[in-house]
Amino acid sequence: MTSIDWLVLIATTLFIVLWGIFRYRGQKTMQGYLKGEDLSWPTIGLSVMATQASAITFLSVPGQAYEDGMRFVQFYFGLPIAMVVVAAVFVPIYYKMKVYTAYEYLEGRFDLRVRLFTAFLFLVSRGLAAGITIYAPAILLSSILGWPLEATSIAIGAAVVLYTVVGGSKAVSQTQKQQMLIILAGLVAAGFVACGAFPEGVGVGDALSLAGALDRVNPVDASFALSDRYNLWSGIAGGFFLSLAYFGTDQSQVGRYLGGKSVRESRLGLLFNGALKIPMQAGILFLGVLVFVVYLFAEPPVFWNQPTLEAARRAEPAVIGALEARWSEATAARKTAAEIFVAAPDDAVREAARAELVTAQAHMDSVRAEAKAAIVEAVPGAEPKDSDYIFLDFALEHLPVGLLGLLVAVILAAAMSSIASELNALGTTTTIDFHRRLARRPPDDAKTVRISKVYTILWGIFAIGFATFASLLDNLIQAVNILGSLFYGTVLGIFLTAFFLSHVRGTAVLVAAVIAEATVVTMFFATDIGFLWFNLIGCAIVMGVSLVLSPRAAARPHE
Amino acid sequence: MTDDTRWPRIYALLILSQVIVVALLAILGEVFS
Repeated sequence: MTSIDWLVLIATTLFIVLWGIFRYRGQKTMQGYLKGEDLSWPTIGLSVMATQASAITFLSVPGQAYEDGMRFVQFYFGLPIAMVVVAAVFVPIYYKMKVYTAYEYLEGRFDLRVRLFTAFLFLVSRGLAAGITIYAPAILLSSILGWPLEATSIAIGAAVVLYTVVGGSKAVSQTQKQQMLIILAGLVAAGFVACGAFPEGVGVGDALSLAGALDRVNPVDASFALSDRYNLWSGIAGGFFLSLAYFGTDQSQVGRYLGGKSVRESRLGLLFNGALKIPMQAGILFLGVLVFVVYLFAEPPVFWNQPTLEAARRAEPAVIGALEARWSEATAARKTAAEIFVAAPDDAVREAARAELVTAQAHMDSVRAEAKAAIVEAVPGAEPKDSDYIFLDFALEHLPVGLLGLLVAVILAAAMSSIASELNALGTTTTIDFHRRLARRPPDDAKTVRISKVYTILWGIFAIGFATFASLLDNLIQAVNILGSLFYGTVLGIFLTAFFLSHVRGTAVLVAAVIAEATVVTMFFATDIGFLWFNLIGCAIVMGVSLVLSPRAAARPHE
Repeated sequence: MTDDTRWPRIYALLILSQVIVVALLAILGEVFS
């Protein structure tokens, strides 16, 4: 990075952190600190989006499109429907009960046990997720700055803890608005740079044809397979239940729209998210497709994680050298085929070039698989998954001076906005649902605010600690989603039972929830069902078992 | 709330717009496959 990049990065990040601290410091009331109150719908909408769009989104998703095409967008197809249900059903109930957390509502509806059980599930899953949310941008920073991962994890975590603790929920929402605007601007800029990196004579249409020929433009897949992670059906059904659980019952999101001025503002904020989410994700995936096309005409590295590749070269120079030579040949063949494809005078030549492209790509895939195996063998402990580095590598190589700094700022902004919501929600839930509720003498407003600050700091320290231990799982974004899915279905089932099965009582729903959680965890390890389906399964088991355990007639046999 | 009746229409509009977005994505996939 040049000094101009540094200037852009530091100025943007520092501005947001300082603004969050000084503009919103000194809030003493629970209402102001824990909820944020008085937010308008654009702030709520952008803050809901910024909470979900973590740094993982910008590191992992373009890489996913590069390797696998745009299929991942289907994951979001159920989201708009979920937004309607949350806006229509969940929001008015939370407002009516004047709750600080979603779990608070469950005590009024069922009993204290259900409230604590659900809040506990949230703390476990979100607490771990917060660690992963810090980890992703920490890798990026450590790779760019050459700092150790621990140092970057602490730097990112500490900056967020600072303004989240000082300014509370309002600072979180207001900074997210700016973070989201920076994110959108950065994405558009990166898209233009990618298009500018195409060789002479290759337009966006050619790029799409090339990507399509290699199966990268595949946003909608209507075939049905339970084990398939992303298709139209798992996206609509599974994605609906996941989004419903996430936006309706996860405090890191519920906390965002509970700070609204009125039911109307909260609803509009959620619908705003529902309208923009699919286009935005499609845009980010499309960016990955554009990057893929850029590398059709330039030789991509055989392995995207450069430090690991270097280490492998040092350990096994002959083996890796031979593989890299074969890789260069294969990429050259693909490049030639791509050039013929674009310049083809007629359909026959084009079809021949397409077949060449597909063959060359298959050859590259097999060399890459061999290279990955050799790298894992040469470097003990090396992680074969490298797709999270694709977009980063592209950015480092292609972005002009200033823009690279902006892009790093974007990824930091995205990371900080998600972590802020998570820490804020973890602190609030620990304070409201556990400490304040279980204290013999509930603390007053000012003391509650102070306690909540302490818990937010503690959760921050926990998340930073977890981040320094996390290693690249299957794929970061999927790891977070899978983790969420194992608990989300059950939690959603509890809430839907609360809303729609009015005769079910606390004990029944608690037993049902334990059965559902045990079943989901067993199925996760014993079957190969796509993880999105667990939301639906967990939710259905809770509602079904609750019903069986509380038959209306049996409860009142002689009425 | 006086504008209660408007919400169902707003919800329907949102879903319709997203169906169009998905259809456009599907068309994109079909054209460039």
